[in-house]
Amino acid sequence: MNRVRCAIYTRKSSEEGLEQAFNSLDAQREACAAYVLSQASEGWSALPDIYDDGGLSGGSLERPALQRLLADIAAGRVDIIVVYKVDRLTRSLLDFAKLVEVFDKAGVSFVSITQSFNTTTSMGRLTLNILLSFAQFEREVTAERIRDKIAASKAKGMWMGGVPPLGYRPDGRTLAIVEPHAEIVREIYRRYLNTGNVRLVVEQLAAERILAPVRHTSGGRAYGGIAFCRGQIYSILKSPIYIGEIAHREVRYKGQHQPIIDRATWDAVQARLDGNVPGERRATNIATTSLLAGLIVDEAGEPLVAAHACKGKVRYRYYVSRARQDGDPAKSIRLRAREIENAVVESIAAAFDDPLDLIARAGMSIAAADLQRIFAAAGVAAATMRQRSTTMMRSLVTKVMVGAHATDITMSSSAVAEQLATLWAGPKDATFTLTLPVRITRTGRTLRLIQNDGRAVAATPPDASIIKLLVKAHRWWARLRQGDITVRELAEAEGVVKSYVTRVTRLAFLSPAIVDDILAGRQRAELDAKRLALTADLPTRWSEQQETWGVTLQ
Amino acid sequence: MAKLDDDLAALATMSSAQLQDRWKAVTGTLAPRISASFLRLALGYEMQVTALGGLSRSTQQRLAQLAAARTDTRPAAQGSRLIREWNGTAHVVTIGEDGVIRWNDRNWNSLSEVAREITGTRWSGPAFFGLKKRLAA
Repeated sequence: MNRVRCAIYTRKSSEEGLEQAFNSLDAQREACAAYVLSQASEGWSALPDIYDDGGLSGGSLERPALQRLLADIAAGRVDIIVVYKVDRLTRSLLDFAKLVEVFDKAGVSFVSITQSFNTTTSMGRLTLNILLSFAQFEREVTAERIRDKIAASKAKGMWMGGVPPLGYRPDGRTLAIVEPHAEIVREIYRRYLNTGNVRLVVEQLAAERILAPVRHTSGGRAYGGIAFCRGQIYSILKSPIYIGEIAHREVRYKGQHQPIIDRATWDAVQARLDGNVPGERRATNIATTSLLAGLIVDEAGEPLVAAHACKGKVRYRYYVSRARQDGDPAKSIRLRAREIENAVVESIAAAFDDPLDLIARAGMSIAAADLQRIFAAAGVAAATMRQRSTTMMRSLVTKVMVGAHATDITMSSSAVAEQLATLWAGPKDATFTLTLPVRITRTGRTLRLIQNDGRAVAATPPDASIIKLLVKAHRWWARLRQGDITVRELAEAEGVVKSYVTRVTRLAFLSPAIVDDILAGRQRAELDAKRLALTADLPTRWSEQQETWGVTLQ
Repeated sequence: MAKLDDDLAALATMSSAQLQDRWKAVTGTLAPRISASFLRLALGYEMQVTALGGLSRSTQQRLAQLAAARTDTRPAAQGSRLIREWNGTAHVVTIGEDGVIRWNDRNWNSLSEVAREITGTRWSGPAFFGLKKRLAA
């Protein structure tokens, strides 16, 4: 059995009664000793040393016996401190927190014999809460102090760390100019003032092979060495560091470092930048966000960037190769966002519609008892996916690779397991791949996604408006065919014009193949309700209809 | 085939009266009261239905269902599994990649057959396996 060495600590603040032979200190000590004896079966034994503080306040830690006790604790001579009541140790809560910290560090626990100090009691919980809130408070105070210190230092113009701006290197508490880099910064300012267009600046720099210089983090990691991107140029142009100022929040102070750019130039650049702001752009006023932004890559693994053009209120979204921005448009890809997104969303939702298959793919093992729950969870997941949930897409999918032969969706096994309300036992970063039979093809100048049978990927599910028209056509034709009603009478009964009835009813004569395609939502992309209803004349022959509107299988 | 082509080509030159007679010959009913061009289209359609076959039964059912707008049936996707619990046992029906329905280690012609085998009464297969849903009124 381990020997547990107990130090009994007693304290009394007022002098009175201390001169008595058996005083409060002795009483406390006896009670504690009795308690230690009662725990003898656990191996407890009281240390012979007497830690008694008579007539000393619990408001401070400057007490000889307590200091002695702390020294012994630090020396590792004590396992447990036994006190009569918690407030014998200290009355200051802050000190209490400190003491507990010291005890924890030394692996010493402490016992208050009349107030059982465990968190199952209100006292224990109260103490714990007090300790925690004081610890929290102290942390916050420290943080405030540091924030104030940083603000004060910046007000003095010091450099308070972080990634040094291009053209400078950290030099103690200020920045020193790195001349070759500073020259690049001046060059960027010059070029921007000449062109007034960041994109052109980027293109010029790239064309002249002026790259971001290689720099090293304090940890020794190298960065830079590649072409500048627009964001970098913007931040260089906007940084007040270059006119010798240090910014703190909204305030700018005179810095202790040398400027690289003269104020007149900088002001001119700021005026130019402000004049070029295109207006508010917030994620909240976007009707449709790019679901696959940051996930989609081409076959070479190069990311495709979400881009869009606006016409009035309509936003035409695309995923574009970066290469488009650095020239070489021959190799670059520009995909209609809606098409690829729908293909990906639908395939993932379909995978969740068949959770058993998904479980097999992800390599999960499940108990038969869980099936019910898994199916319920999978249904929810499929529905959520079909609502184009961005969060779900980002948690499930790690990569979407669009290729000339197929599209591969890399999914995280653990995220899939989470969606299916099961546990994933494998490695955290395990992935598996769903392959869609959807590839890119270049038709003329544009790239389209097509399925492997050559049909365009449906940009929409079965078109409800066309199906409505078809249903209407068949209903009206059934009425007309009875031969007891004219088109005019039917139009009056339906409250529409005569020509509309004629045009719509003609759709009852679409070839069965086209009707099947429409019901399944795989009609040609250019076939929509408007075109159908307004088409001037429908060919009688089904073969001719097929040529115009059928789906040609390759 | 050639005959159908000729018949369709002949429609273009027929008068209204001829068209109506032709309609009666093809369908056995009186011609509907529609314009000649409209009747040409309808007649061409009827001829092609006779020669080549019209809308499949399932398509007709689907259109009727859409028109009634009371229920909606999802087709059983190929390569999917349908699970139905009946009297405490879960029955798993597999729809193969070729659309073949497999259950109890043999192929079946329709889900309704499977449902009848399981329950002993006549059920609509899609309804039994949860593919057919009542639309919210």
